[in-house]
Order: sequence, then C-alpha cells, then structure tokens
Amino acid sequence: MTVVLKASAGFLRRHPWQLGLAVLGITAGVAVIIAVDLANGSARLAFLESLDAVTGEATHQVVGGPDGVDEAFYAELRTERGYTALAPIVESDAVIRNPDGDRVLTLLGADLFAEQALRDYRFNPGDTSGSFEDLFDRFLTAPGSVVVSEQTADELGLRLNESFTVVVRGREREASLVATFADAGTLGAYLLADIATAQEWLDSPGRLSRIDIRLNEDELAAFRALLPDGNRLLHAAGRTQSTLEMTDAFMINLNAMSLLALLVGLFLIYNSASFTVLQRRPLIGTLRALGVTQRQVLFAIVGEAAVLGAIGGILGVLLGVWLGEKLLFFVTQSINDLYFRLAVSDVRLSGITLAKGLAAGVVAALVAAAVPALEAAGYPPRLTMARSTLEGKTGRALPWVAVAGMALMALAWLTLTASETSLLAGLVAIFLLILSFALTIPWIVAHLAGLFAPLADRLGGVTARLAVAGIAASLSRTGVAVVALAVAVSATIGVSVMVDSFRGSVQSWLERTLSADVYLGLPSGGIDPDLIEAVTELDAVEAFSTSRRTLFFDGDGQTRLIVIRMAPGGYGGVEILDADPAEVWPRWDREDAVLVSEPYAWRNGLRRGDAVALPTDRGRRDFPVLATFQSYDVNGSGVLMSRSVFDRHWTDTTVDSIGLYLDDAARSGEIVAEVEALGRRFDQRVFASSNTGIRELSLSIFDRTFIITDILYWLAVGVAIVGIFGAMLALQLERGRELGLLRSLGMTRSELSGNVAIQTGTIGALAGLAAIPLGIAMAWVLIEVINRRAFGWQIAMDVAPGFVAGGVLLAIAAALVGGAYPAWRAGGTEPALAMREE
Amino acid sequence: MKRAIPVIALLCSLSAHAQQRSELAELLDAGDESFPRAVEPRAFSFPADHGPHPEFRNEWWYITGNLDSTTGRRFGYELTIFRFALAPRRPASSSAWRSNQVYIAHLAVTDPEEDRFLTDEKFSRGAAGLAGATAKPFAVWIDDWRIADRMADRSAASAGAEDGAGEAWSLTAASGDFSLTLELDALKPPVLNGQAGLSQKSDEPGNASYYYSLTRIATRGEIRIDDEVFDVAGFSWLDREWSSSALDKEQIGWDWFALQFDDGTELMYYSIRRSDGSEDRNSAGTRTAADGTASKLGSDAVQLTVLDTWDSPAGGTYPSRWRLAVPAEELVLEIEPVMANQELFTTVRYWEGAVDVTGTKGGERVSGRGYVELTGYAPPDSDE
Amino acid sequence: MDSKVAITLEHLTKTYIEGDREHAVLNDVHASIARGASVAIRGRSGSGKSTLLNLIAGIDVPDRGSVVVDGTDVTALDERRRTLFRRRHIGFVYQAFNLIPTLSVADNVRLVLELNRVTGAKAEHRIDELLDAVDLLKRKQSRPDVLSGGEQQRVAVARALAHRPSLILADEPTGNLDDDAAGKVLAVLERLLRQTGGTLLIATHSDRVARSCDLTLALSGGRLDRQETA
Repeated sequence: MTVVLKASAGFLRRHPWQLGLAVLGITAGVAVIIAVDLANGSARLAFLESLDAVTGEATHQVVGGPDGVDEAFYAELRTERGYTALAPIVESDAVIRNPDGDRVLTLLGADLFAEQALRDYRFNPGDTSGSFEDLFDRFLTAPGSVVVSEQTADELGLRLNESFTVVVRGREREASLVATFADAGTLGAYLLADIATAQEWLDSPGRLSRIDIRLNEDELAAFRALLPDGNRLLHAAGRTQSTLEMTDAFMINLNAMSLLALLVGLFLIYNSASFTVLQRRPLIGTLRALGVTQRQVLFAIVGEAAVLGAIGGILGVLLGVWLGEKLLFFVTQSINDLYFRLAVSDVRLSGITLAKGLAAGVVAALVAAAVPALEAAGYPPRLTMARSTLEGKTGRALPWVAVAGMALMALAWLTLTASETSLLAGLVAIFLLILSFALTIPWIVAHLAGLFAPLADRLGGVTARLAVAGIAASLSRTGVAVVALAVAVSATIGVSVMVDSFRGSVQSWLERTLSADVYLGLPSGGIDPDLIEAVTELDAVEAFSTSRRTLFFDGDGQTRLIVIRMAPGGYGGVEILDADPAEVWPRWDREDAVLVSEPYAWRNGLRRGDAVALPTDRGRRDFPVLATFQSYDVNGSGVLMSRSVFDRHWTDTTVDSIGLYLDDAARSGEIVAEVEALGRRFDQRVFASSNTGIRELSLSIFDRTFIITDILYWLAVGVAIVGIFGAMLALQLERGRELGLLRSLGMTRSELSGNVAIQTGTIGALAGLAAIPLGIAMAWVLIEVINRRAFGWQIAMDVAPGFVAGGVLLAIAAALVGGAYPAWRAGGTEPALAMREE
Repeated sequence: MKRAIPVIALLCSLSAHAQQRSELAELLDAGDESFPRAVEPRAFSFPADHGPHPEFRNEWWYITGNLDSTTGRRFGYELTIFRFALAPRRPASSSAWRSNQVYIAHLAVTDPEEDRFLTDEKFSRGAAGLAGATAKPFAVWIDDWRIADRMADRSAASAGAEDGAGEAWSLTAASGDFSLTLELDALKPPVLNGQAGLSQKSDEPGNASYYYSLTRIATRGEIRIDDEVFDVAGFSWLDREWSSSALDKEQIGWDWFALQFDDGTELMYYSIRRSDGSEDRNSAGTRTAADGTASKLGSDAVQLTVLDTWDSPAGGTYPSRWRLAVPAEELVLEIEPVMANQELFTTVRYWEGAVDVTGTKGGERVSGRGYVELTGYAPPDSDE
Repeated sequence: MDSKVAITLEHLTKTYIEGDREHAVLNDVHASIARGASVAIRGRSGSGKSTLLNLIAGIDVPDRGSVVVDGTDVTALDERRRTLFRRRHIGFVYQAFNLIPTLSVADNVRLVLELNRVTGAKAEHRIDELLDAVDLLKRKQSRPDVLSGGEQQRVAVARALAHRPSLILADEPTGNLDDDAAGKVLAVLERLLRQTGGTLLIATHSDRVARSCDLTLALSGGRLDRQETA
C-alpha cells in the first residue's frame, strides 16, 4: 500500500499541473460556498445579534395601530398595574448626512431607567468628557443627545460632544454624540436617543412605537385583558423571526448560486482526477501485475482525492473568507435596500462554516474521483490500453449517459410539478435540470462536433478538421470541460434572461403604477398637513392622490397595509388581475373591503372573496378581498385600502406620499422645484421627483440588487475557465505525440498554436450552443417557479436574442482565455518527440 | 482600553447615599450655581411643603418605622423616595418624557425573627406620570410605590388638615416577594430641625438643607412576605430634606439616629464624620417633647460612643452598638440593632436598620425603638 | 556546389549528457550523399541513427558542423525556416507509423498536401494516385485503426511522399512489421521513389532493407563509415 501511495505521490510530483488543477477546482468551488455562507451567515447573525441586543430580555411587544401605542397605557402598567419589566420604545428611521452617501439608521428612543430591567446597554465614556454623571445628565436632559456604535461614528465622522444633523421625518434636527456603544458593532444600525428626544424629533408627543415587556406564560391572559382596543401583544421572537423570514428567499437563492459554483468546481475535480488516472494507466497496470489488488488501487486513488480535497478545502476556506468579506458588502447593501436596516461590521467565522467548507472539499473530491478510481481499479494487469480503445468505450457509453440525462430531466419535471409552493423543490429541480443537461451535453457535443467537422474542413482544411475532430474523439477529456463551461454559461444565460424579463416587467409595471406626474414623500411618513395643503393647492395641480403605508405584525407574519386616496384618474395605475375593474373600484371606494397584491395573495393563499383580518383601532376586523392586483414591490406589497375606509377604522391621519397630477406633464421639473421650495418653507425635507425620476431610481435599486447575482455567476464562469484551462492543458499533454508529428510534418509553432486555439474556440462554441437550451430552461424555472415561489411575482418571460448570443460569445471567449496558455504551450512541442519509440 | 459603563453605573452616581468621597462631594458639595441654596431660614407651610421643591438639586421623603404584627412578630421597614434635579430647569418640550427630574426609591423590610432583610430599588424619570410628587393633594410616587394623602386619593374634595397636623396618608410599595400596604397618621405636627428648619451641614454658607420631620406617625396595615400576610401596627418617622449642596470634601459620611421613646418623646441626631476620623462640629439633632415642642441639640450637647462593630461580609466595618448621652438631660442610652445585617446593596451600599433603645433618664429607665442610618463605611469600589 | 549532391554533412557533432558524463553521439561526421541515392544507415541501438535523421531534418540542431540539404544549409536556418524547409523538402516514415487516428486514410495524406498548399481537385487526384500506388485506394475513407500494421505503414509512405519531397527520412520503417508486410512496404516505397525521384535515407537494423539500398553507412562510436554491402 505504501509503495502504491509513494508511486502516486511521485506521479503527482512529476505532474504539478494535474495536482494544481485538482486542488484549484476544489479551492474555487469551496471558496464560493464559504464566501456566500459567510456573507449570508454574517448578515443574519448581525441582524439577530443587534435584534437580540435591542430585544434584550423582553418576551413580548405591545403594538398599536399605525400611530402606535398611547404612552398613558405604559404609565398605567407601571403605576397602577405593578408591572416592572417593561420599557417604552419610540422608533423611526433617521438619516445622517454624509459625503460618502447618506446613512439611514434606526432611531431608537428609549427610557434608560426602564431599559435596565430588559437590556444592558453599555457606553464608552468620552475620553475626557467628565464624569458618568455628566454623560447621563446630558443624555437625559439635553435634547438631541444620541449614542451610536463606535464604528458608525468612525464611518460617519461623528465625534464625541460634537453636533451633527439628523434628518427625521424630513426635518433636520441637531444631534450631539454624547457617548458610543461599548459593543462590537452589534448596534451599528442604531441611533440611541432619550425617548423624549425621539418624540420631539418625530413630533409625536404621547405616542410610543411599542412597549417591550417581559411576561411569563401564566401572566399572558391577565395582561391581554388590560390591552386597550387597537393594541396587540406580539411575541418578540416571532416578530424577529418574521422579519428575518423576509430575507429567506433572498438567502436561499444566494446559497443556490454558490452550490452552482461548487457543481462547476466538481466537474473540474472530476476532470483532473480522471486525467491523473488515465495518465497512470501503465503505472497502475504494472502495479497490478506486481500483485497490487484492485482494492488497493481504489484506496490509493480515493485516498489521493481525499488528501487533495482536504488541501483544496483548506485553501478554499481561506480564499472564501477573503471573498466573503467582499460579498458581505453587497449582501448587506441588498438587505438594506430591500428589507431592513442592517449594519454588519465584519464576517463572522464559525467553526461550522469552516467545517462545512472542508467537508464540501473532501466530499466533492471523493465523489468526483469515485468513477475514475473504480475505473482504475478495473484495469487489467500490465495491459497498456491504446487510447482509442478508451475513446471507443466513451463513445459507446455516450448514448446511455444521455438517456440517463433524459431520465433526470423527467425527474426534474416531476419535482417541479410535485409541489406548487416549495421553493426548495424548485431549486432541486434546477439542479436536476443542470445534471440532466450535464449528462446529455457530451452526446450533443459529439454530434455537434460531427456536424462541425465538414464545416471546419471547408473553412480551415484538414488541420481545422483535425482540431474539431479531436474534440469528439477525445470526449473523455473534453466532455467534462464542455459540460462545466456549458453549465456556467447556461447560468449566465438563464439568470440574464430572468433578470432582463424581470426588469422589463418591473419597468412596465412602474410606468403604469406611477400614473401621477410628480411625487413627494417621506420614507418614514408624516408629511406636514400644511405642506400637503400648500402643495395640492398649487395652480398646476389638477388632482392628487395620497398614500400611507403601515406594517402590521401578527402572530406568524406581517401585513403591509397601503392606504390610498386615489386621484380621479389614478385607478388605472393599479392593474386588477382577476376581476372587472369597473366593478371593483366603486366598491373599493365605498365598502369596508380591500384589494390584495398578487405576491401577498400567493403567500397567504388568498383568493377573491376571502377576507383579510386587520387590527383596527377598535379591534380585529375582517375585510373582504375584492380582487388581486399586480405588484413587484419587494415587501411593500400587501393590502390596498381606500383612505376613506381606513379613516373609518383608524385614527392615524399620517400621509407618507402624495402624487400630483398636473395640467401639463411637461411642467414636472418646475413643480418638483416648487415642491422642494415649499418643503423648505415648512421646514420639512420631502423627497420630490417626477415619475421618470422615481422610475429611474427604482430601476437602479433593482439593478443594484442583482449585482451580487452577477458576481456569483461570473465566479462560476471563472471556475469554468479554470476547467477549460485544465482540460486543454491535459489534452495537449496527451496529444503530445500527435503534435510532435504535426511539427515534424512541417507545421510551424504558430500554426500549431492556432490549431489548438481553433480547438478550444470550437469547444467554447459547442459549450455555448449546448448552454442555450439549458439557459432558457433555467430562465423559465427561475421565472415561473423560483421567483413565483420565493416572492410571488408573475414575470413575463422575454428571451432577448442578445443574451443568448452573448452567452455563446462568452463561452467562446472563456474557452479561448482558458485555452490560451495550453495553445501557446502546444506550439512549443518538440517535433523530435514523435520520432521516439514508445 | 476604555472602560464600558453600564447604565446602572450611571444611575449609581446619582444616589445621595454615595459613600465614595468623590461621588459624595460631587453630588452634595459645591453645587451648581444655578440651583438655589439653603442659605437662610424660610417659612414652612403645610401641606404645601410636603410636596416637591424641584428647583433644589435634591430632596427626599424618608419614611422608616417599627411595627409589630398581631401575632407578636417584630418588623422594621424603610421606604425612601429621592428626587434629583439633573439640571436647574426642564428644557421646553412637546414630549411628556422630557424632564430634569430623576426619582430613586429604596424599599426595605427587616424581619429579625427569620433573620431576613428584604430590599428593592427603583429608578425613574420624574415625568410622563411615572414618578413625581405633588403638594396638593400630597403624593410622591415612583411606579406603584406611593405615599399619598389618603383622603385625596379617595376623593378629590379633601378636607385635609390645613395646619399640617393630622396628616392621613397611605403608603404602598410592592416588590417581587414582599410588599407594604400601610396607613400613616401623623400624631404630631412637623418638627423643624436645625435653625427653624435650616440644617447647616458644613461650615460653608449654603452647605445646608431645609429639614423637617414627622417624628411620630401612627402606622397600621399589612406587610406581605412571600405568601404570608401580617397585620401590623406601630410608629413611623418621616424625614424631609431638600438642598442643593450640603457636605464638603472632608466629610465622608454620617450616622443618623431617629429614636422614638415609650414616653412619647423623640430624639434625632446625626453625626457627620470627617476624613480625619473626628466628628464634624456641624453634627446636630433635635429633641421633641411629647407635646411636639422641639429643641435643637448641638454636637457639643451629645456624646456618641461606639460600643461594638459589625464586619460586613461584603467588606467594611460598621458600628453596631452605641452609647448616646445627652448630659443636660441626664439621658444615657444604649442603642442596638435588632439585626446586625441591615445593609442595603442598592446601587450604593449603606446600612439602614431598626434598632432598640434602652437606658436611663435622670435615673429612670427609658426604652424605645428607632432607626439608624450609616453611610460612608463601605470601602471604595467594593460595591461592584 | 554540386547539384548532384543531395546531402552534405560537415564536422557534424552532437553530444548528449548522460548522467554525469558526456556522450558524443556524432563526432565530426563528414558525408555527402548523391541525389536520388538510397542509403541505409546501420548501427546498434543508441548509436545515433535517429539523432542523425533529426539533424538532417532540421528537427534538432548540431553542437557543431553543418547539414546542407539540396543546397540549403539547414543548420543556418532559424526554427521557423527550418520547419518550412522540412514541410517542403522532407518526408518522414516512422517505425510507429504515426498516422493521426482521428483522420481518415485520405485525410492523413491530405494533411501534408494541405501544408504544401496543394488543395482542391489537384489534391484529390494526387491522393488517389498515391493510394493507388500503395494499393490502398479501397481503404481511402477508413480510419487508420482498422488497418493492419503493414497497411498503416503504406499509408505513412504515401503521406511521406505526397508532396514529392526531395529527401525521405525513414526511421526503422519495417521494425514493427513481419517480413511479408515489410516487403510490401519496401516495394511501394521504391515504386514511389522512382516516381518522385527523391533521395532516401533509412535508419535500419534489417539486412534486407540494407540490401535494397544503393549504399550502406555504418554509425559507430560517433563516426559514420561506408560499409560494403554484405
């Protein structure tokens, strides 16, 4: 056994390329997995930790209607009901201006006296800013005193005891940093202020966002009995969970993308492993003849794979950690764009993640090496098989492998149709689809190459034909490279087509939805009523709509209520999907009924005629669903209610945004300026924009969200390029004799390099062509299954020829890049080689 | 490495009973110039002065009492509500939470039979109805710990005694495992300590407080400990004091005695200790006759001798038995805690406990009960 | 320069390092071979036969001395020019046939024609002519791997002479063949040579092959000497 291992070690030492490529394949695959895992995990952990820090020992939350909870109820709980483990919270978004881009933090208005029963905030005192008492005095008594994490302060250039501007509800407020959190950045997304400061800034005297409270199970019933109408008691952990669940689909998709990279990496490892076995045929034959058993050969190859897997795994983990840090930025940005405020200071390494990477490396290497190892073990003693014998074997197996691929395709279809809702099933189907294509591609390629050969002959003569024929003839080498490249390229085609279709749908939806000419709004709500009056009374304004968005958390989920006062001409902006708009709208205006967005309906299994229960100020109440409407809003989609209906059930009068319909749309720019000027007059910084401006902004956020997707599939393409590199290099090494012959027959170096380049280019083209059906199939599954199941969106699929052509070009380019060095190397083949005897 | 400060430590620094010299000095000495100081005697008016004096930096309502249950069990209790102004004025605000006032309360029950000393503490801002004090009708509260005019609490139209005598209050305070529900009826009018209520604490003018006491308050009600409820009755004592600045840097703590004798008289004496170990000459007391007439006791009129000490398990040595003599009255008393360990581990450590008093006056036996407060004995930093 | 002379070798020296000592494969070899001659080169294994052929083909370069083929000093050319010279003027036959397995018999021949810019009908005609000459016209579209060794070598001969090279280098062309097959190969080689009129250099152990040649040179101890045919 040790001699066998020594022999294999010696072989690998003399073939560093093989060794390097096998390790590189594992490294690349593991790195991407680790990177995505770390980025996701760190984002999740940061969110949970920061929420843990701000939830503390609270088990429940008392929440109210859109305008919150009456603070008198809080005082009652303390002074009359004897509850002691509770704290009031006033929460909102706060924008800190910064030259590098404004930063939105969560303003947390807290009562530090009450906090000590639930949470343990710790502060760093200023260096010389005086006693603890001073700090505390100022935090409590000096309006505008705030605390942020040290990292946030550094990033935003905030200094202790200096004042800076915070924009809350569109109003500029003066804040002063009195201390920083003494934590490891957990509270990076928070701006802590005294509850009085928060109420002053929000201009919401008397109202709390919620009451955090610690209750045990046997206190619940009695406590619920005390709740005023319109207030509800929520489980704190449940709320954290439902907030986090919003990102589930997002993170699952990222993980799926990372698995794709490992899959491509897997092909790479298989490639290298089978090649090392192939090259060692004589060695293995000799060893077998000397009495080494099949099992020993098997163990030697598998053991070799395990060692390489472990090395690649370790390197992959290291590379993955580095890559994870880069990815984390994009993940955090997307979560901030789409879901909630999140500040993540750095990646968190967990033993589990590292173990996962290592295990993935070893397991992938073992899986990939299993087939070659079995094959090697099966070699008869001493026989040195002619290469064409193996090719013959591969060629005969191709149709059967392809049949297995077809069977997998059927299985993929079954998986898709087995469940209508399971996202996981959708992703499994995608992987089955990829595998089925992977198995079919060599067969397709063999046929395509057959078709290509005469064409090549016509274009480039026998030498070109020689290059192309070489592909089909040496499928045992090239097939896997083609598959890896095809899978990577098909992912780019699939994702590009999906994103492009999605973008198109969003764009036309935006065009329809943004029916007013000018919009003004405050992200956190609360436009000054006087400002509303002034704006809507502008001469150019013919009509206006208002909207208010509010989020209700409930036992197991959340509901975003969008309250709209429609302008007379504005109804067309909402596309009713399953009913006659002419019938729906009058009822919606009049009756206690609502519309639900398509994703919301999908997620909650709602249909026209069902009802949505909403917590009104006078208790829960069922609102019948009149119809569903189209929406691509990530988490804004929910329940649409007429303002007049809302006003009957809630006291909240807040308006978040206003749409202005002008007598002349061409005056939009001028009106935007006028609205901004009015905002300044009323001392409220409202966001004002023409509908085109919003459309552009929305699309730019849309695009930003998919940056990470782009990065991931480029990584997959990168791994595939490495695969091509390895395969071509191996092929050139193997073709050494043939190349030497061609050289001796009089082919110059550049002619030979060109010949090899033609071969790789053709491999790329074949991979690109093979990738088209898979790419389009993937796009279809992504659009019709994954997006639908993850987000509930209906997207019109639109295959732009440019993406398909681009995919093929990408494949050719990738192959040429990967094949560049092998081609150059081939040119240097010594002609004398061919003269030597075997 | 910067030191992280938990919020609790911030609160700690606010307590008037801080025993660390620096904290004490910071809080009670050389107060902010913009707070008014107790410089000259003022006219007291009741019940108005039972209410808060928010312009002063600190103020307290300090009730202690010795009670017996109908089953013959002995209890002591303390409920103190402190008020601190963090700034001279409340900033203008639309928010009811904006305040310059902070309230802290300490609650303790001494149960010598079970050798138990139960304590609790509360903090709150004096705002949003969570904590505060009002004069008319009288009330001072923090959360559901409350001392208030019983009549006013029952009906707004109170015929509350205009002369200040006969205050009829209620006291409620509940902690997790014990609670107090008491009715308090003052048997004597307020006694003004010091110079007509101006109590000089150090040599510097302005280092003084306004200080009065209700020295004998008939008390009855319930004490609950765990699930046991005791019907109790006895006498309580109220100390009321407000100031902006009192001690100077050399004054490290005090021993305070409030004694109620069986003959219907009372004696209050506080001894301020200086860092060199001597008794400060501003130490003083008040002797109250059965009919409520009061007379001042200067430090030279009282001789205080420590007879025994008690080592706190948490460090520090407290005096635990005294001889107190008032030669002019031929009064010689021995004062002994009903239980050695009545140390409060609130954010600031101090000893406050029920005591028994025995002795002679002009050769005749006298006895009584009382409360003693000992501050400045815990070694620095031992409370963390 | 004598136009009757096909190859002139002067001071040809080639040394290999073997282990820690130098081994002079060719040591100051002088020779000149007349155009149209067929010459057998004999010698033990490792005596330098292949090295000599490589030097003449411009595949390898000597440490010293020159090789002049058809009036061109091959040793004075750069690598690319040597390759182009080889392509035009030299044909190879190897012991291991060295046909390209992925190309048909015809394409194996066509490859050489194409490298010499002979395409279209002209090429087709030449291929047919050659395969006919080697008696394999029927196997024109076959893959090399279905042919017998002798047949493969005949294809190799056709390939070597397709572009009418002035010099044919053969390295043990019958080494892998039985007598019968070897005879056939030699026969077609001779037949084709007569058509093209090239000079033939065969490195061989075989007496039979040597006998069929005009001249035999023996390579031994780094020197090339004329040997009388036995």
